Amino acid sequence: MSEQHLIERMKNGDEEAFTQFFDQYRNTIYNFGIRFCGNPEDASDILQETLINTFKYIHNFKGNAKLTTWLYRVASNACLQKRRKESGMESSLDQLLETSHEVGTDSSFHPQDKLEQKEAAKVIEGAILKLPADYRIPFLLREVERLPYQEIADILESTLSNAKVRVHRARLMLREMVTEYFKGASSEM
Amino acid sequence: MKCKEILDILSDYVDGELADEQCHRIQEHLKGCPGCLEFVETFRRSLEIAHDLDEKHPSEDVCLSVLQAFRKSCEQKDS
Repeated sequence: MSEQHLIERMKNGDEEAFTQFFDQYRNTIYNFGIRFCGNPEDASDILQETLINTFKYIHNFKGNAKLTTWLYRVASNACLQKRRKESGMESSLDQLLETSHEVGTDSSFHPQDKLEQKEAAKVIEGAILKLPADYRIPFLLREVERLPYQEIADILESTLSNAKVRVHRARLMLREMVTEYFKGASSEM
Repeated sequence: MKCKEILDILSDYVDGELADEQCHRIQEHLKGCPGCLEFVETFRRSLEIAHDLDEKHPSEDVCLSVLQAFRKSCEQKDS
């Protein structure tokens, strides 16, 4: 079935079309949600909210953007609704750093080239969660979803330059957090 | 080129959006500035790790639960 046909069926309230839509995009939305909020429960809620809101607002989709662009916008809004719960996630990076320092006691440890991939991924995951939500979303769209800047701007309903600035600042913040971790690990060598 | 200038255009640099001449100026600066070199390497490395993060998928139980909630929401809308 073509995307256009699927959208038409969805606009007509065809639940089966929404099930197909869900099967097609559930992994993308869930992954985006879990990278934003850091836990499976909230990611499931984001997935659910996105599906329900897609059903509710699909008639607003005019077809002048890609369906995925519009979908990321719906999912981003669902993520932002979760922001108020973020205070509970603040310790994520600290907890990760504590665990990571245990690895840093290895005298051969060097963060630039010897850090285990899994270890590094945990630290980056934690650092992403520490980014302010307004920067975390564009960062995820660029670095995890690998979208072009123009599409990110369309999702954020911002200008191209604003999208670029937000991604750049998010990258700098992330680098700053990771550097602190690297230094901490190095100092124990 | 000054260190501050590198910071401002670093994203354009790693995204490959700068002209060759500007890239060359950055590379020349990095040869003589260990601080900036370390900064750029850490910046680039953190993005590489973010790119390689494993994709997380919802379990079948989660998918069933979401679809159930969706159908319930549709029923409420219809009633």
